[in-house]
Amino acid sequence: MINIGEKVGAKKTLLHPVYKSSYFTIAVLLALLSSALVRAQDEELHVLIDDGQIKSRIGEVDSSTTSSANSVIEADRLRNNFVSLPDVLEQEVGVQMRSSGGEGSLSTAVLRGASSEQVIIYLDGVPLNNASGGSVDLSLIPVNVIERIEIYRGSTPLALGNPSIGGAVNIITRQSARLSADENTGQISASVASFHTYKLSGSSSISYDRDDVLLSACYLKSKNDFSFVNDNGTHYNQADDRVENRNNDGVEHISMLANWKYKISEQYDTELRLVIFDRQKEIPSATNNADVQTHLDTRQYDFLAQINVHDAWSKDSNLNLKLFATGKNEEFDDSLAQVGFFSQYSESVTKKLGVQFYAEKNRLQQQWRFITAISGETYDSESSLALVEIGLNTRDQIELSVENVSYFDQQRFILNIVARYQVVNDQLSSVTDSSGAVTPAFDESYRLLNPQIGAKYLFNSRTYLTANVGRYNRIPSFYELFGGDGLLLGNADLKQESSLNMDVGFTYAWYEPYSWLHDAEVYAGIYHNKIENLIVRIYNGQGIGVPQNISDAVIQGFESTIKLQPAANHSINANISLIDSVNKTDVGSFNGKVLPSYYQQSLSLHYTYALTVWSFTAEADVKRNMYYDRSNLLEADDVNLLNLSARRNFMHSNIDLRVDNILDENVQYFRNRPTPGLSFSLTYNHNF
Amino acid sequence: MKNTKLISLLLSLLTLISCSQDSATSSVIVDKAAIVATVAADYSSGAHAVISKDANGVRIATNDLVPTGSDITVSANGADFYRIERAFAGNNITKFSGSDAQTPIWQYSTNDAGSAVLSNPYDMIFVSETKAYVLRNGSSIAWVVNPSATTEAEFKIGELDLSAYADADGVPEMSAGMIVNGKLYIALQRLENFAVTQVAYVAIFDVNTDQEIDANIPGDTLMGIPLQTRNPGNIIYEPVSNSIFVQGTGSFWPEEFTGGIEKINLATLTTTVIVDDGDAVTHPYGLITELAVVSDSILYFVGYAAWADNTLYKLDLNTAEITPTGVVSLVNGQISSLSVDSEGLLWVSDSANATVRIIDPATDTEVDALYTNLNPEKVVFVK
Repeated sequence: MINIGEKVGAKKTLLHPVYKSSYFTIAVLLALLSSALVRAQDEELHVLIDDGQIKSRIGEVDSSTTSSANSVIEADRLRNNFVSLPDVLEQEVGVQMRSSGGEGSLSTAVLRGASSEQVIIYLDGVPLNNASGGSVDLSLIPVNVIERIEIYRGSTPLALGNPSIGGAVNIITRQSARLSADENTGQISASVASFHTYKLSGSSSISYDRDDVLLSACYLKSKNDFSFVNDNGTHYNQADDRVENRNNDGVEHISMLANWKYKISEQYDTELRLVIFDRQKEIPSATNNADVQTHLDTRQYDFLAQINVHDAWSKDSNLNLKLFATGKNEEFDDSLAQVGFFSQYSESVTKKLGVQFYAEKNRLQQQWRFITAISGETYDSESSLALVEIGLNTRDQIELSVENVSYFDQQRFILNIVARYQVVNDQLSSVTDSSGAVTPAFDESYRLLNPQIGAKYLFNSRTYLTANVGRYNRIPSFYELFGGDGLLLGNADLKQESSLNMDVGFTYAWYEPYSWLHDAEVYAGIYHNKIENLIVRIYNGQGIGVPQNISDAVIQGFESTIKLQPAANHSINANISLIDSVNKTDVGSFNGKVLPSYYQQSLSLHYTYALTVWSFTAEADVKRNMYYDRSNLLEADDVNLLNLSARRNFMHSNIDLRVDNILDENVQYFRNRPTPGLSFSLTYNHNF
Repeated sequence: MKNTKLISLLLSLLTLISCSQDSATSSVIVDKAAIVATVAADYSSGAHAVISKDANGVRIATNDLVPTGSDITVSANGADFYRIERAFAGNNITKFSGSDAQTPIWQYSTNDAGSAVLSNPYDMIFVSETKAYVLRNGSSIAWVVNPSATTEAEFKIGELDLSAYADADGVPEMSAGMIVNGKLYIALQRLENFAVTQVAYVAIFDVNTDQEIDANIPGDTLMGIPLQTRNPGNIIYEPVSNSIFVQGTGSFWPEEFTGGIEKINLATLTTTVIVDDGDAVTHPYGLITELAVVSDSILYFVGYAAWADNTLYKLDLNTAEITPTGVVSLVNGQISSLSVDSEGLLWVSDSANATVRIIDPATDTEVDALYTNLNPEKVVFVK
């Protein structure tokens, strides 16, 4: 009998038959039951969706049926101004970004209080999180390659494999103008901004007969020499404080996207997509010394090939086959020991190759969806600090998932039942230390079962009630399992983190309810996540850290989105998020405390006033109550950000002026890592 | 008359004897309080705690004072204590009064102005109220400082150059120090990018002139005393034998048993290994990570068998007998530091339970235990 989240030890065991799993069986039975109920109904169909035709592309999340709390960032918010991916994500309810410095600095996402390791970031449905470390640096992905961003909070739709504790962010890359229904086939954009920042980007779309091609490139360079108060490490001595410019925080970033879609026939179409990022990032020291030369260089490519088959074996039976490959090379150079404590040069290479098969069968009152995916990831690193020789680490993963979507009550009530089964096998190659002693290779395996149920009741297309419950897991990373250099030991006995997530949400929309209110939409939701076996690195008195499953936690919260359009040229968006958490652990100083690294209260306001050729935007972002530490002794400063922008539109171009962080706050999302204060940017866009 | 004179003489003698006894009693100044550097188990924060006695003589702990980063330690001189923030905290020293442990008197950086190098201060050793030495593990230069300085400009008053002992990474890793009879003894780990590959030394300086004293070790080009053990952590003076005991850890990674407890005879400057941590095959105590000298015949040390497997051992120098402590929590536990107070009690930092345990060496039993909320790392005493 397999238990949910079973971890298999170093011994090789036989794979138990899946059907013996009690939870999987329950999920399948529920799906079959709902299917039977659907067939038993003899209802005239009042179609609230288009006769079973899915609006999304094959293999993508169907927004009309998904019950996951979600939001979408469309392309218009990503174009024509100087914003980064972290900037736009920060404005979404439930999302908090943490940045370690200026443009291009490490930026990670927290989703409903779940840490960045617990949030999976996808690029066109392919997970970007690596087995080595877990978090994704979102500053690596420029907005110019993005078509839209889908954020799923708390529950992960089936179309996205690798379900995670916090939820999912799916970044969908751009495609040709014809396929995007974009009247412009090309765009050139140039920006200048504070802190010696320059950005140049362009895209061109070509569509001819069956071919659709998009090419896009972007170059960003910034010195990030923003001013801040350097307290010289002496918080209680203001006499040695000095206002100075940030040193060695510069970035140079090139990215390219090539997308080619070919429509073989009405039934078959294919897509090839390649994204390349190349970034050189300087790393500032704690003392902000101008002589520091430490840097982190990242080169990454993401390749995707997929084929869609419409009406594969019958009407409304569709298939999608994806082949994906990712390569990431990171070089960290602190040879002069100016940032870390030792002279260090390290290089790591991550490669991932996988294939995913998706099939769906769409009947009028129910849909079946099926995903199976196989991937293999290798991680190889060399470090000048390493006192041992470590070979290649590998992670192989197999996923098998099925979803039943059933409609009841004239398609007003939608029930999603998902069962996912994952097998993950990690292999550490043998380790040879400096004395010649050899630690033999060993394996760790995980078998995970993640069932989830979602329900959605549609009052109309814009007013609906949703509820979700599901179980999610996070497998330990290589560093957590196998350790790093010297002081960072691994723990091969780590269990995966797991969470039982529940949420309820209600979305209500009005159209012209009052004379002074053109349109309005309100979303309110509550959630409760019970997380077990949180992994925390615990240090002994000699400063040697070992990760351990040390905590359980409860994270619960309330979130709300209010969208008002008083008139056609006014729009107001407000997001409110209240998060509470409790750490439950045997570590006395952590027990009963709030989890660190997220703000417990956040409010963001966005107002736009659009005239004929001018538009004006005001944004406010207020955050309160964050702790840097698990003992809740170090409280972060509150965040009060105010941004203004003005845009002048011409026939084929526009000019955008932004003033960010008018209150000039050097927010520290990471302790002692200031971010830029007041800044200006000017962007010129030309569309053709 | 004769009787009167005799009585007077006897009375004088009695007075003289009682005065001598009073002098002997008053020469031992009882500690007023213990200051404990404490850190969160995940190293996400740190603070200091004060353990003092209430009106009934019951020890109480006041925890989580002046929170900061986790890479901290403490030092004390008289009624004052100094919280030292190391490389991954602020690289500074903050002075507090033992009577007001929450209000900094001053805080000064220990980094060289304009330098990118983190000084990583490890210890502060006091000559007087106006002179002390700051051992900077990240530098080849130790600072001479004035602890009574009222401005930062007055803080640093001199330097000790230890660059002769630097190894391939450019610094000698000064780790601990002790002043004995006008001489400063500094332990130098000489790690190369954390690797324990070089011979460790103890350098000697005259505290009046701040000049290095040549130990004149035959065949050695350096002026200091070469150690037989490696990676020294604690250095403690024992007055009866006029010796300094040095604890050497050896290497955690890769695990190498090159440490132990070494005794330096200050009269002859010769060294003797009194406890060898063993070798790769035989190492009965594990690595030796902490040391306390209770008397001229009793030492305590911590044997580090594994990450969460430390044991407190008692060493009787007269019999050479080494026995594990009878205190259960300190067998196969986690022990960060050992300290001895003015009453001869042993204070043990039990970081598995966030508790400071007070042991009576005479009976090897626990006489008190104070919960510090965060894990205790180092205990010092203020008068």
